[in-house]
Amino acid sequence: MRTRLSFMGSMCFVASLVAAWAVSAQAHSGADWYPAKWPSADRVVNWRFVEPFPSGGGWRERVRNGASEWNSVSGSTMSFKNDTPDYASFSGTTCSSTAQKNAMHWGTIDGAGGIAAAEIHCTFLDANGPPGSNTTIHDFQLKWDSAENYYTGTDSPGSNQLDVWSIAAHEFGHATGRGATFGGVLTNGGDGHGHFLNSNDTLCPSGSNRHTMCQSYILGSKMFRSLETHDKDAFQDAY
Amino acid sequence: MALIDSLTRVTRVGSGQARGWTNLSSRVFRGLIVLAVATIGGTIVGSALAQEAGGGVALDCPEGDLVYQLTHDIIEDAPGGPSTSEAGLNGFANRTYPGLQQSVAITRGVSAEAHNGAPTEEFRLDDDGDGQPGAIAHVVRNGDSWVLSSFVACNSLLERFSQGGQW
Repeated sequence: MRTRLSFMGSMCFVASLVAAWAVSAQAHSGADWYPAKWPSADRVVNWRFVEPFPSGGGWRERVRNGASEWNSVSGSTMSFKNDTPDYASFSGTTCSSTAQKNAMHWGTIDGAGGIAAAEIHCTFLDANGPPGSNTTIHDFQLKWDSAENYYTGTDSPGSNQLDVWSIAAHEFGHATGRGATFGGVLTNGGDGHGHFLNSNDTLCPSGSNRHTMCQSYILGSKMFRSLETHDKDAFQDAY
Repeated sequence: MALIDSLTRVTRVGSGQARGWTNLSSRVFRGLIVLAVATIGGTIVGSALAQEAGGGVALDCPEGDLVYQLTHDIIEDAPGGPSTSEAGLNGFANRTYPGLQQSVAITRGVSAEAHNGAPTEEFRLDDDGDGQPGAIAHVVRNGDSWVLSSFVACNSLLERFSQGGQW
C-alpha cells in the first residue's frame, strides 16, 4: 500500500512538473515577449487622445482604466501617462516624425464588423545589434473603429458589445512593447506577437481569470480588465 | 534623448552598408505565418504573426530605419468583407498607401493553416527588386471574407506612399 501511494505520489509530482512546464512554456521570460522596449532613459510613456476622440460617455475614463492596469503592476519602471491637450488629427500611416508622439485615435477603419481596433508599434531598427539589444520603441498608435458596438460602463457589457476597459487593457499591453518586432523577428513567446495562445487552457480559459494578453477577447466579456499572473510576470521581467 | 543618441550611433556605424539586410541576414529570421486567432463564434480575434522554424524572410530596411508594425484585432466571422486574400490586401493598400501596389513587386509567400484551422496568406512587397521585401502583409480568412491581420514594413518605404492615404 505504501509503495502504491509512493508511486502515485511520484506520478503526481511528475504530472505537476509537466503542468508547470506547460505553463512556463507559455509564460516565457520578459525577453521572449519584449524584443524591443521603451528607452531606459524615460519610461513614463506619455500619450494623448487625438481629436475627435469621444470626450463623454465614459470613453476616456475606460481607456485610462486600461492603462492603469499596467501602471498598477508593482515593481515596474514603466508607466503610462495621459497627457493633455489632445493632438490635432494626424495620420497613423507612417511612424510619427516625433519620437514618443503616442496617440489614441478614433475613426473609421472598415465599418462595423471585420476590424475592430488597430495597434501600431514603431521600433527603431538597429541592424547592428541582436533583437532586444539597443532596440527601442519609437512610438505607438492605437485606433478604435468608430463603427463598432462598444460598452463604456463599469458593469458588464452586453453580449454583443466590446468592453472598452478590456480592449484598452489588452491594447496598452501591446503598447508596453509586448509583441513588438525587430525587423520582422517576432516574439518567442506565444503566437509571436505577444499573445498567450488560446489553446493554453491554463492561461486562457473561458472563465474569469483569462489573461489579458490572450489571443482572443470573448465578445460581451470583461475578463481582460484585470491583469493576471503571467501578464504581470513578463512585464515585470522586462521592466 | 537616448533614442537620438542611438540613431546617431547606428547611422555612423552602418554608414558603409547600403542595406540593413546585410547584417540581418545572418540572424535567425523565422518564417512568418499568420495565426488566425479564432476560438468560438462571437469573439474578437487578435490575429498575429508567428514564428515558424526554418526558412523565412526578413525586412530589407535601410540602416537606421524605423519598422512599422500594424496589427488588427478582428471580429470573428464578420460578414461582408473581401472574398479573396488578394482583395483583402488590395482594400488595405489602396486605402492606406495609394500607388504602393503599382510600385512594388508582390509575391505570395507562405500559406499556412493557423492552429485553429483558419487559412492565411502572406504577401511580400519588394520595392527595389533585390528579392527582399520592404513590407510583409498577412491576410487571414475570417468566415467568408479575408482581412488584413498584420502589416510590417520599413517606414522609409511607407513614407513614399502615405500621401492621401487613410489609416
